[in-house]
Amino acid sequence: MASYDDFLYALLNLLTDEVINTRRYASSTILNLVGTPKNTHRIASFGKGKLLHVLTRVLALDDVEEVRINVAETFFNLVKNSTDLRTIELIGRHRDALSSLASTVISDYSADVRAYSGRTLEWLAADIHFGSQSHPGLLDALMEASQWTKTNCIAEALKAQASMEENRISMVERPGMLDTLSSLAALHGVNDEEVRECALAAIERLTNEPYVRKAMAMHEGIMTELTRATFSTNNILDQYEEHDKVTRTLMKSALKNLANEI
Amino acid sequence: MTTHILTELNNAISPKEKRAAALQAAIEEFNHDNCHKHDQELELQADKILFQKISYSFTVHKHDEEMGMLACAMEMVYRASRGRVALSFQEVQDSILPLFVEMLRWSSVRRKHIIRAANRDSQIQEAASSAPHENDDSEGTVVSAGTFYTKGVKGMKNGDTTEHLNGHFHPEPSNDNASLVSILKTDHLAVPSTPIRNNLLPGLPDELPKNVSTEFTIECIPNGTECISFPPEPHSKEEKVEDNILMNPVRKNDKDAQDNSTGTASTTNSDGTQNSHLDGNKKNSPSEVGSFPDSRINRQRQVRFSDKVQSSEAILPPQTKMKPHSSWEQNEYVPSTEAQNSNAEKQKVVKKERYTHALAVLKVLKILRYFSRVLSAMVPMAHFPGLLDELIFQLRIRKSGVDGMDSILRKRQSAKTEIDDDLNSFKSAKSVESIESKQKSSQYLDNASAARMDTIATIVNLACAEENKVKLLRHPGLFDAVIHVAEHDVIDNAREHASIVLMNLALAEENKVCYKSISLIYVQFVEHSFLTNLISTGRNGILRRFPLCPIESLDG
Repeated sequence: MASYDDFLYALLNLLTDEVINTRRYASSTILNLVGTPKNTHRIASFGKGKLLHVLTRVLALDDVEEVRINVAETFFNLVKNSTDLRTIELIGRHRDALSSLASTVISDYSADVRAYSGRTLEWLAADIHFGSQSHPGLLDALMEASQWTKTNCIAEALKAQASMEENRISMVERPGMLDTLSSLAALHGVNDEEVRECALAAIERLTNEPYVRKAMAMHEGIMTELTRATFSTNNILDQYEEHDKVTRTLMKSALKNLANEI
Repeated sequence: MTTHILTELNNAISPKEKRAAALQAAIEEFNHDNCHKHDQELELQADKILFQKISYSFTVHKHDEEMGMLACAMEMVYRASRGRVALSFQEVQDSILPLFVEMLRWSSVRRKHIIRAANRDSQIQEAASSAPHENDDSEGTVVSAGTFYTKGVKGMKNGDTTEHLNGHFHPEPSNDNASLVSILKTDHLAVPSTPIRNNLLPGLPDELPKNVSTEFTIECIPNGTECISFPPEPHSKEEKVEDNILMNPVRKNDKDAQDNSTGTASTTNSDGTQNSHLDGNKKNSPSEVGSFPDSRINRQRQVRFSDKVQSSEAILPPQTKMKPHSSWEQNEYVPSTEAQNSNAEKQKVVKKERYTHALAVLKVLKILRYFSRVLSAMVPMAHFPGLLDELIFQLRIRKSGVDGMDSILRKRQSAKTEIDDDLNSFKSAKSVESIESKQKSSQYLDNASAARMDTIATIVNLACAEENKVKLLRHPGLFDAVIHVAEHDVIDNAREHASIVLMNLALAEENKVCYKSISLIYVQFVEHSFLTNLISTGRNGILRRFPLCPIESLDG
């Protein structure tokens, strides 16, 4: 079916149909299709990105929650099932796709839509790296979506990005990235432990890059978070850190890396 | 009360007023939405009584209002519960589905479409036949109307469009006999790909016209469509005579009786080609009807009349009729102007009488919709030869004007969507859309739209069955028709239904991945070295025998 141009054009129209149920069924159809890896590139590239464009707009603007959920899941399956890096690149290079996903993560009132969008960004972060034209856009999207801390998707995405050596310089040099990481590392909510750990892990991995250590050492937020536990006013470890040896290890490791620059 | 009404209906045969009164009472009785009551009606075998009546009515006077009323009553009866409808379907499916397919096939719009297609085919064949061929005495030709491809065994010649009329090849023009046709039809469905010959059919008359070819084949064509050929629809003796009177009120020639008495329904022209339908039609005068002392000859005349009814002459506009070939027709027969006028009027009447009543068509589609809701009926319906093709055709019927306007509106809308790239303009487009939708919703639901709605709803139900998903997707023309409805239909519900069909079809794992293009298979098939000669040699080659396969339309 996916190879049939007329069918995909019809889906394009049905996705924006005025009848709610029609949009629901159309979005469900396309969700079914992207469940097959062979169809992902076809759908992402169809009509020079027309279908992707419509999906993006539906995700951002459709009134019906079920339609948005279907489309968000479609994006997730597109990225997850894709065996072709060109598909990821097509999504990454789309003008609105990454920004729409990011804004959806923080603004959509449907938890499912937020979750699928966040997971999509996470999977994209595992595949898009420095050198790709869409890498700056991805970093911007991750920074925007980092306000969503109910799940650790975005923090995991940042951690994955920092794991790759070639990404580190571009990450640190990206305006706002260190602020983002420091704010995530500063979370002390009951359910924020995983997010904080991921953020600290990202910071620690960034400090492994000698060229960025100075910039990181100069960053107030980063240094505050790294030194907060050790130099807390009461000299007692944060209650959430008492049992978190991993976090402490990461912080110490990061501080060691930055010691020469301090 | 219901029992009494059904008994009355069952017993009402003649006169017509009595039938009409019984039918009217039945309709008044059945016209309600009480599911349990409809169940009781089915228990009292209202479905079978009505089926018998419809069968008879379809055979005798399919355009009569009575036909529509009977279908109406049957539709009412089938408003029963699904379980009871399932039971009824199980009992009558073998008989009712062929009847319904024929009723749909004989709707006026469908006939015109088939004739247009037949004319196109004949033009193509004529153009093709102008080229030199190695072997001109072909054994058969494949004709196409809609998506049916049937091969006749003998007797087709170029330019003879009458064989195409039913969307199928009619083996020979003079093959029509009510019992023969009914037997052939029944056996057709049950015995695929085996030529059916006279001596295999019990109950056939001892002697048949010599040139009657009862060879029908169900063959496999490259795109996998089942191909089955139906003989023409039988007509009752009375109607045949009446039709003949209407068609040929002024033609009298002593040669007619002589020609008719030969027992052949086809005549040989000067060039040796057979031109049986038209010639036989023109040669029968009303004064001779029923005047044959020999019953055998009389029966043969009936055969000829029936052929005339099926022939293109009765349907085709006068200018498209074939010219007479025999010398007496060309030289001696010059009808007067008055006769021509009256002939034309009567031809119109005949044309009209030959089509299934419009209301009956609508109700049949409604009944099919009811059937399709039954799980046990989904698979048999989808696999019944010809039914999907008729449904496809119903999907394509549009009320002139409305659909065009809607298509323009929708295209404008889609163009606007393409141009407006920013998100805000998308909102504005939606608001414009809502205004247009309000305008559209005010349009009344014409007959074509109602038929389309029932049809697409039927297809939705059929697409629910797992076994049907692949079948429906690969059925030639169905996917295109559904896409067309999804994209362009004026009715919101129709588009919604079409989107459900697409969704259901996309659920099948086999359908998700792009299926191999049929044209590719075709090309691979024909490129096989072993078949090269077969393909390229004259009219018996594959490319000759499948000239109209819509392989391009399925090329993804």
